[in-house]
Amino acid sequence: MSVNEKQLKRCLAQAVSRTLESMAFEQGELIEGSLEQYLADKEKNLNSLLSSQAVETADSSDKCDLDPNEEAYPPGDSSGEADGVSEIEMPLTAGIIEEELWTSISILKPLRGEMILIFPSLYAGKLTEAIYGGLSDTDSNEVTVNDAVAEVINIIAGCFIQELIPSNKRFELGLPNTGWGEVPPAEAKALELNFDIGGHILTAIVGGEDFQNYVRENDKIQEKVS
Amino acid sequence: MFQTIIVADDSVTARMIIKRCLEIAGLCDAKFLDARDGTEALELAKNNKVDLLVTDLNMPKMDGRSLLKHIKASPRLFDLPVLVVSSLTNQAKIDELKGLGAAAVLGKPISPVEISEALKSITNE
Repeated sequence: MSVNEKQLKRCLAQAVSRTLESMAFEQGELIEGSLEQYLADKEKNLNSLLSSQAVETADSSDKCDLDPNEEAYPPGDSSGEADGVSEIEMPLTAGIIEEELWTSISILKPLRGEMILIFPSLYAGKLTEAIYGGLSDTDSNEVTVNDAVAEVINIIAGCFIQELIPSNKRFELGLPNTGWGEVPPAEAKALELNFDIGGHILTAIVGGEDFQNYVRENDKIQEKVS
Repeated sequence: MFQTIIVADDSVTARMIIKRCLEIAGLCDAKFLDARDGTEALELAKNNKVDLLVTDLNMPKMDGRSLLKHIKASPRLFDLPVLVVSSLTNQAKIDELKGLGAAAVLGKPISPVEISEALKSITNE
């Protein structure tokens, strides 16, 4: 990883963390390495936790002061717990593939490119609620969520560029766009970071030829940001 | 002191955050007039007795920089203090905006403390 790539990563990670913390009191954990591996490890850890909880439940059930001749569950009880192992409730959302909400903003000066954030829809709703400090049913609509995530990317992009370039350089951003479902293809991708925010995965992408050249430590681009 | 305040930002969320910060900073009795862009803000400023204009920079139709220039070029509105709240702030931008007549410039995300300090500096001017 080049020095500039590390710098880009540091600036983006800081911009995302600071913005979410200050706007919604959220803490994001930067996922190092591949997202697939991270999710596979997380699932493995969850399964092992669930198994150990099941064993503990079975053990504690064995230790109950019951009459050994008395059946734990009367005949005909179909609760499925007669074997002493409780059924572990899974979250209602487990296994559901969430629709994604994306938001993007053009970076116009001194480097040209774009930033894209991809939110799972459940997290986008939670984030909006956190920013608004609770929403009534009528407020918690798509328009409000779209507006909130657009403001989030506006602030993240501003913090990111401020971190990246010297304070005597001017910078310009475009207006944010937001949409649901398929994420528009990013311009030549220069960096992609994933964050785990309370179990939700937020993806941040910076793209564009200028940013790719920045990562490659191209001299002309270096001049623009120094 | 600041009884009527125009809050200009194309984002409803940003306007809500700014108004909440102003209220926490002590302006709970102020009347807020919402504008979605510089054109709306300028109309509101012309047609109302306004004590403070809080504006974003990056807005459709008329951006905050043009709005600031219009305000400072108008003999009737020249004295209206303009507080810029934007994600596009670094020292170069702050210098430029203050040169154009902005009373204070704050970077997003803002906090009630920063707003409060900015209001104090505007009052003392």
